[in-house]
Amino acid sequence: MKLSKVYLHPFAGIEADTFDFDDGLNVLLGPNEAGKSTVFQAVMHGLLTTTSLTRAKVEKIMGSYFPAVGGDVIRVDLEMVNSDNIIQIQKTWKKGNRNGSASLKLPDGSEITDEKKVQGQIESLLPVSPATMRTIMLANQSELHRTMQDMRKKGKVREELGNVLRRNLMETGGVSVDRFKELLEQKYKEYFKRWNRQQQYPENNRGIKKPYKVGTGKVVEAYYKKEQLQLNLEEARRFEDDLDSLNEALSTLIVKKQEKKEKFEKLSPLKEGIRERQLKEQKLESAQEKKERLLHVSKKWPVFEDKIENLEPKLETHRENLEELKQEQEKAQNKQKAKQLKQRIAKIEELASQVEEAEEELQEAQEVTQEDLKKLRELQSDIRQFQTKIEAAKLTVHIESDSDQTLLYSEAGQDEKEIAAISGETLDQTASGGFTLKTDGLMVKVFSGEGDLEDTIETLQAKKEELSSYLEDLEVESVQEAESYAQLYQKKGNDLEQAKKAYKNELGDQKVEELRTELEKYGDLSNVRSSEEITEDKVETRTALNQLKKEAEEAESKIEEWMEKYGSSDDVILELADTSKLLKDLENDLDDLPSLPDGYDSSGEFIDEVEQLGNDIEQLKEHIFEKKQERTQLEAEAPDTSSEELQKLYKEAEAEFERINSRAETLARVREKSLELIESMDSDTYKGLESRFIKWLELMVGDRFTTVDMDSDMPTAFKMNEATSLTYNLLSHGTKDTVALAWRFALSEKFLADKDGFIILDDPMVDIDPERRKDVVKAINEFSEHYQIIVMTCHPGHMEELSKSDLEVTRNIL
Amino acid sequence: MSLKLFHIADLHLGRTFRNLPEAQDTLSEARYETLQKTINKANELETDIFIIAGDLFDRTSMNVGDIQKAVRSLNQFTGEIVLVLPGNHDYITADSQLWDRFKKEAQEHVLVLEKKETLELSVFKPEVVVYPAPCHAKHSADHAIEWVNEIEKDDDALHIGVAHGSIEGVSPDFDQRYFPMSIHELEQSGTDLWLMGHTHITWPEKPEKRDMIFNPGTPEPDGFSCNHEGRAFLHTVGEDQEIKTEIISTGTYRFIQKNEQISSTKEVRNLVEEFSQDSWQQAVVELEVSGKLEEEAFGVWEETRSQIRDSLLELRLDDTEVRRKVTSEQIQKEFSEGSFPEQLLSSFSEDEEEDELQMAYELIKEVQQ
Repeated sequence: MKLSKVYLHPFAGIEADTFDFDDGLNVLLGPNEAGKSTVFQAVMHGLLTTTSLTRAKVEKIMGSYFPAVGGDVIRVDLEMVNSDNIIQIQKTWKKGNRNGSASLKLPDGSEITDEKKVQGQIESLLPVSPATMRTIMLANQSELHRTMQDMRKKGKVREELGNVLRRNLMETGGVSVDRFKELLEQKYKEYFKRWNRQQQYPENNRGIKKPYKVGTGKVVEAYYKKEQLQLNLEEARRFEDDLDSLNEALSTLIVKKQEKKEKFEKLSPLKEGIRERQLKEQKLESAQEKKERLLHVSKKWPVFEDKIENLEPKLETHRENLEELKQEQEKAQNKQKAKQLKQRIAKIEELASQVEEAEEELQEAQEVTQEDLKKLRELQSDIRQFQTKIEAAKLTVHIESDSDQTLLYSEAGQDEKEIAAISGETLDQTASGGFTLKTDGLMVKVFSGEGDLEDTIETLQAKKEELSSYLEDLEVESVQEAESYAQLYQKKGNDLEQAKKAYKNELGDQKVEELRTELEKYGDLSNVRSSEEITEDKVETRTALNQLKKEAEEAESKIEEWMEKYGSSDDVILELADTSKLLKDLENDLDDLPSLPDGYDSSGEFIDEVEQLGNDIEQLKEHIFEKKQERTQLEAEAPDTSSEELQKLYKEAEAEFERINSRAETLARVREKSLELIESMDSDTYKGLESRFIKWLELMVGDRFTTVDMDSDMPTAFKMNEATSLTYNLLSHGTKDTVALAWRFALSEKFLADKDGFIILDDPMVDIDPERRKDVVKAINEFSEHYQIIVMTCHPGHMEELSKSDLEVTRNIL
Repeated sequence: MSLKLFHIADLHLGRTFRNLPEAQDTLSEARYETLQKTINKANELETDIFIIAGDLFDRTSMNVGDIQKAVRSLNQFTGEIVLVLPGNHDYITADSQLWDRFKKEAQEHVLVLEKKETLELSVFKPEVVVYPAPCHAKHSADHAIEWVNEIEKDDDALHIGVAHGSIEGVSPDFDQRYFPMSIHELEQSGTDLWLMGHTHITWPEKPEKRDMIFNPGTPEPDGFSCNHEGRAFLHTVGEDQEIKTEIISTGTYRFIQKNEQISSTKEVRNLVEEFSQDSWQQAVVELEVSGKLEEEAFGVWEETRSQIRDSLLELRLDDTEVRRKVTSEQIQKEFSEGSFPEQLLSSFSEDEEEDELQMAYELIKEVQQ
């Protein structure tokens, strides 16, 4: 869409004037005050500002365009060409509330007058969004690099040109990304300072128990407020509960005290009377006891006296029995002695018969005494001695005989024996001491050398004969036999001696007869009982006796005691009468005293209770005092707001916290998205823009810059021939304008692409030196080959320069 | 002859309204005025008995001047007797400074129902027997009416129970802390009627002949939970002992909660206009406004909403849901295509992230030149 005609009637300083525009380059010349800018503003508002404005808005937005003197209406008529179709726009603004009007005539002849619809239709016809239109196509030249100028003024010139340019595009909505970011950060801080979003808790775990005092954000503040109220609420509840239980305890104590007091007041007036009663009752009780005692004594006294009398004969009988038993016991002992004596006599008699038997045996034995034996052994020894002597003179006899004959042969001292001598044979004999050989008619006696051997042989013979005769006398066969008899005889003798000794031992000095006499003296004891039986009887009798004795003694001592205490039994009767009277008096006294209230077993119990009540009341008073003090202390710390009200406050604070936190989280998400977006825009959005920018810049500055440094896709510095590098802020005013214009062409090209559209340039060459203006004019001309361009200027020279082109230039002069 | 009972409860003299900074003084003072007005009204209606069923005072730690002020009003009752039951906020203990002072200031015909004992009012024919169930603590899991059932009751007399606490199914008492009673327990106690207190809203809403349990609600509203005007009950006992109950409107101030939708400048203006009526000067209003507005209407809302605050006693306004209508068309119109604000707003708009969109828009507006 292109602009073909502008009719102002009136608008600002222009009363009524028409301006025609054509394709390509248009130049509008006019001094500033003549309204060069007026036309610019009229086009802009004619396209972008609704006529349906409130009174205030009319004043604010359109106020400066109303005629200076009189007149409350301004009108802008625009004619637009869209692919050879003509669209007519009429806008009228009037002072006051929504007094304006608008009209849009479409190529088909239809007309729209609804102000909103008119505006909507216009905007839909624009090749770019109204905002882009406003900030790029219709931008005042100076606006384009205002950001840079601002920065310079504020001394904030730090950014590279690339950044500046990029911002410039990003901020085409009139929104500074830096300021937006700054605002976001500021708000973010306002909300989140000291708040840990992940934990949804103050940082460093500093909850309400250890809160941050300063430097907190709204979230933490709301959180603390809520938490503090919760603490207060808990405290108030605790206080109220404590107070309730204290009051309850106090009420219980007071009620208890009251009850006790009432009871005490009712009972205590009776106390003295009841105490008197207690005394009298005690007396009465002891009198009653005494009476009973006296009654008992008076009854028992005669009984005991009788008892003592009756016991004496019984005692005597028992004593006699005991004496008899004693005697019987003696007899029983004699019986035992007689029995022993009898046994002894029998033993003695036995021993006597043993002696007799031994004597008889001795007599019957062959008597060979020890002397006999001695004699016999002497003889035997002598014989052996002599024989040995003889045998020592040994001789050998060698006999040879011519014929058989018998010889008598005897050895010295030996008996003669016959020996046979056989013819032809030699007979050898050996003899001791000598031998005698006798034959018929011949006797040969041969003896050994020693002369006395013959005597010896004779002595031996004599001894042998003596031994034989001795043995004969003894009527024994041999000495050996004599020895055996002698041994036997000696033993019998010993046996007798033994028997005699035993007898003697048993009998001692006594005589058997005497013992028999003694036995006879005991007489007949067969009927006497055993000692054990008698002892048993005795124990029984003695026990019975002792029992009786004790009874008697007791009766006696009782009577003795009573006599000592009461005198006589008659005195007891008298005392009994006195006691009865005392009892009666006491009973009468008690009748006059107040009676014991129900529920008490005794006066003592009553008095104890009254006293206990008195003590209890004192104690309760103390307790009550303590509790009251406790309550006073508690109440001194009473919270100034009730739990119910705090509950309300807490709920509200909780809701407020939720609200703030939710708002803060929303902010956090906006921030996150914004930062993401800024980053992504930084990196890709404007790809390709730099080539356009460089193209336009080269066109206008020619060889002034050899290269332009690029940071990714954005120019950062401008390199000159001498290899010095200039950043944007080091550029001259004119160069800056050139750069800004190049940037504007680049942007417009990007936004319009192949759509029909127009841009308005307001004095683009003011600060550019004449030399370079040529190049700028060239660039403007080139741009106008593709798009409609309206240049406004107050310099006629500039208009001339622009018109020198080969191209057709439409000129308007104010 | 008929007997007239003027029955109020839960006046809460001394309440501070800490949560309503602007209205607190007015509301605090209004309660004393309302007490005086109810007494005047009761006198005007020639009632015989004036009964306060608990929580005349908000707390036991009242200062002497305030107690005197309250009793001065009660002393002015021209009927036979004023009966004041200690409730859970103004509970009575064995040596209560509040009630000791109250009794000291009270004239003979103003009685504190401090004990669980029958009170025979033989001045009336038939005789009236009152069964008080006073509170002895701020909180209690047990009610104070169990003794009433055990008293033998004369058929000819009129038996009136007076109690303070939550009624199961009528008043909220989740923790069973406020002397909870059941309707059944009250009905079974053998009285002819129960004059109750504690619940700040009127119950039954429309008293009928067969009702016997009455809770008038507060005579001067004190919070948003009671959204009707202040109320008292007038019970008239006829010859035949039939009870007729009327609701008497008392009180000056109201607590009102409102939800409003606005979608155009006209509706914004209407809403502001609605609150300009004089009656709203006596109202504490919790106003929740929502709606999506065109830029202009939004501007009008921001400009004029303070007028609502000016015409009310106190306003609690929640207009977080009042939003600019930010449409994608509008975004396109206001911000050049591909520019940062356009991209940011469009992305929220496409994802239907309304809160984020609103906030981003506000922030952008703040930095826009």
